[in-house]
Amino acid sequence: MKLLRHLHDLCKGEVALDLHADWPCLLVMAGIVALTGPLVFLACAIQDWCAGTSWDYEDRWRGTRAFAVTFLVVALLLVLVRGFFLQFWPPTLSALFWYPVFWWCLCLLFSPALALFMERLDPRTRPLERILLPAEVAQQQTVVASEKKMTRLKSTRTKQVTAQANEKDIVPPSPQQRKTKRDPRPIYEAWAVPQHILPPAPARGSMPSPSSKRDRRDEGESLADIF
Amino acid sequence: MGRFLALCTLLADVLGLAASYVAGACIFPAIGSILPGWLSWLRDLCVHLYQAPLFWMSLIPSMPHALPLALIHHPGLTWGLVYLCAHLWYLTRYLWRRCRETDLARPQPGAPGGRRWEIVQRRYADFREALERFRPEIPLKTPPTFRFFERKNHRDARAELGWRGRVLVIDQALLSPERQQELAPGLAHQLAYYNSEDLWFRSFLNCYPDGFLWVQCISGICLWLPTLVKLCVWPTVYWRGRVLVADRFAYYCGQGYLLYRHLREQGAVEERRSFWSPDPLRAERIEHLEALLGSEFAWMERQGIAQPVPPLAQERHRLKGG
Repeated sequence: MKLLRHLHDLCKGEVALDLHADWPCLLVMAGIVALTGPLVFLACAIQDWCAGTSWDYEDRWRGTRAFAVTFLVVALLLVLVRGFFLQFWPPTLSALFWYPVFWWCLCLLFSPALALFMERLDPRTRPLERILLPAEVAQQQTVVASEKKMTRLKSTRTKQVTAQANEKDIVPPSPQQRKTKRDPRPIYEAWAVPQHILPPAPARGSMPSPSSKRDRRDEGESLADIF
Repeated sequence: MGRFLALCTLLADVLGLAASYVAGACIFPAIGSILPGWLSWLRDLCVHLYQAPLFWMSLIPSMPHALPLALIHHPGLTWGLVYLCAHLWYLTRYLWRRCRETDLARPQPGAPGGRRWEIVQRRYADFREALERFRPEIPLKTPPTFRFFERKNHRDARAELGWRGRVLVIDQALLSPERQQELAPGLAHQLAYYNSEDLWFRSFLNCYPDGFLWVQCISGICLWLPTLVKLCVWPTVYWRGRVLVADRFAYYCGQGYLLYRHLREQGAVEERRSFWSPDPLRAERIEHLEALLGSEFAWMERQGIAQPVPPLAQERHRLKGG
């Protein structure tokens, strides 16, 4: 696995080549290239291409899978009915030179399948993740600070109530588990605020909202209004 | 997937060529041989109509004599040649349509550019801003320019937003300040095609006919075979799914809610779809967007950054429920 990852990084040029440390890798690579031609390079390229998009990788991998299945069937047919294809082999082509070339071309048919296998062993596709924007981090910190404040206030009050109860020998009520209040709005209404980048379209003839700069720019009719 | 489907379309094309050859070489001669005697004049007429142009062709001095002779002896070759010529015609027609811009106006780029130019650039900036909330980064590729057109009448069936080759074409009405809420989600949806391989695949498919011609079907020119794949197989197998993917891209660009609202507003219109339609049902798109928006909202709630419920909305909801 480590070797595979290192080979891939070397192919991609992400890791600088160190002859002293990487000679086993290079030896393996030379052996693979001698045996299969540019198969590994092509498989690496396919894997990188599929993993290159973070939002549409599913479609690319689906295409690669379809290619892999098709090419495997073609390779199987070529092997099964090789006698039929060999009769078209030009006799003028010398076997010593052309057979390896033919073999390498045959190996290339396995490149999508190898790319899928490499992805299984060493996944390079990273699905999208939602992250906090700087403004949202600030908002989160404000919320956390206010929650801490509220908790402190509540605990102070609870202590006071307990102290009073102890004084009067009354058992204090057990603290109820805090439940997060669920937003009662339907999801599309609740989502309106964060997704709503554009201001709502004004009715015809109405004045644009003076609070929004973007709003005013968009609604201007003349160049002077826009700029 | 587009590349694989393009390869499949090419295979269908080669099959169509082979079928045309077989039609010319075997099927039509076989039909001619089984015709009854009283219809022999029809056979002779067909043979004459077929051979006469080839005979005149052989009289052209620069024409190699072997070609007309080969075509006379092997009618399948003629069918194959006609097939290729038909292909060339459709390809030329597509390229001509793509290059012809008599009805399209160019916006004025600059910093700042023309009014329409600035409106579109502002939308791109909005999309880039919204895409920053995801990691790994989604690089947004935008077309270098666009064209706009003015709809002359209601019979003009052009889409408000679309592509002509790799050029974005927008209805001028959509670029008005009042319709920005419609432009933004539509633009984000279309950019999904530009940022994937779909635009290339669509251009490739546009080199094939847009419909079936009865002449092709009865004459044995099997160009209908790749056309069948283009019009009947790929819409159901591929394009419906891609519309949903483009919706998802619009959501990544921060236009999920606007697109959702836009689709919901269209909900009152009765929805009809043919079996081969490339569009998914509107309800399906709405459901898909609801899932995306809902997931992000739940995530925001977990992070504690969801917008607080305004008391008025809460009260209204309570009243509705009660």
